Amino acid sequence: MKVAQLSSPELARLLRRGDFLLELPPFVARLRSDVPSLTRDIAAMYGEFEVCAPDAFADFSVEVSLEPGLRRWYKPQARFYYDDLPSFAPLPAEQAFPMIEWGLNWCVAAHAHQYLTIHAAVIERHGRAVLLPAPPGSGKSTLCAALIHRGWRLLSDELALLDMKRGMIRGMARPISLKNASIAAIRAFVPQAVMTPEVPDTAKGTVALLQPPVASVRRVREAASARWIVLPTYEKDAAAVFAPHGKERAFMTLAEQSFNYDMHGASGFEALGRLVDECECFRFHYSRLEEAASAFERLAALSQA
Amino acid sequence: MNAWSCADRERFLVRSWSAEQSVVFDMLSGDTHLLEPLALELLRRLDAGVARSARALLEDLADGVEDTPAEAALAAVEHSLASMWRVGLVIASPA
Repeated sequence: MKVAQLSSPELARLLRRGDFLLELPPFVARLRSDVPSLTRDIAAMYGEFEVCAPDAFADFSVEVSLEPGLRRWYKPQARFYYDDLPSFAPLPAEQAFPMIEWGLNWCVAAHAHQYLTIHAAVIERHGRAVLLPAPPGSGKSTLCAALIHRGWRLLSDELALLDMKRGMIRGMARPISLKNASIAAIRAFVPQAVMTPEVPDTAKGTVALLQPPVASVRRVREAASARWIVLPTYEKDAAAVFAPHGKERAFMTLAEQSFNYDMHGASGFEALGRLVDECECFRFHYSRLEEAASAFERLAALSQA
Repeated sequence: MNAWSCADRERFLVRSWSAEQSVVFDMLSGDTHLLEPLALELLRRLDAGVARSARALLEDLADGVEDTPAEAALAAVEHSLASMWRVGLVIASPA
């Protein structure tokens, strides 16, 4: 059953009881919440995702619940729990959905060590994936959001999961977190885009989540092999240009942007080395999304030739 | 003046895709380093038991630096060794 097949009251009931198990391949997350707005946001963002039976195994059990006492009524706050333990400081209740998203990212980054987890967007075309590792503020999410509406499949905007034995990349095709000016930029570029209401005054500024494309969610179990590593940088008025980037430097960027590279020791080094072996590496500067999309179109066409 | 050595070269894993740089994984510390070619070559020439001066290492490398003025080459070798010492790749001891 898909999330979209649940009525709003039924979804709210499952969330309240902690019986809502969301399949985020390769993981399953059990979500519990009494924050009313979460029902709306989960239905809007995860409609195409599968729901598991309440007694199924869940990799992560998370909860976002309203704080007790006066805070339940006056400027309500909500807190994130992992395995019933409070994990972060409470935040305003209107940030509940971004909190779930950040919390799920943390769950994967901090616990799923069967993968080498890299802070990177991953998109795919014709079976070849582009890995976009980048620190916050580089324009990675904006670029990723634009490209998945120009023929690229979304694997992930935030966490690339490298299966170190098979050398394949997986992603969960979850919603894309857009911040500040990126929200309007994507609204202009993709007028039909479905987003959550904007949430102001978060630690990252104003945030809105973008619904992942249905076609990407339907292929969420398909891993992809990386063909390109592209380090994006948004730069005002810059022309969209790929410039060759040394593989050694690309390797170091991937290692720096990995959450658990250090934990894997020599295996992580070898796995990243094999990944870089298979990829062409570029820096990519851009300012205009239409130009950026055309540049990536040419990149995909070159590999087809 | 320091003499330079390396406790155990076997602890390093090296990957290079070009002549310009290499990545080196130190299995002892778990750290990964980006090394210039000179640094990698020096690392390869350092032994565990025998501490060597920068000048002796430079003489070993003479073929590769014959066009470089000796003092500049020595300074480059010393700089490279000091950089590797700071991140724990090589050992410095009084000459």
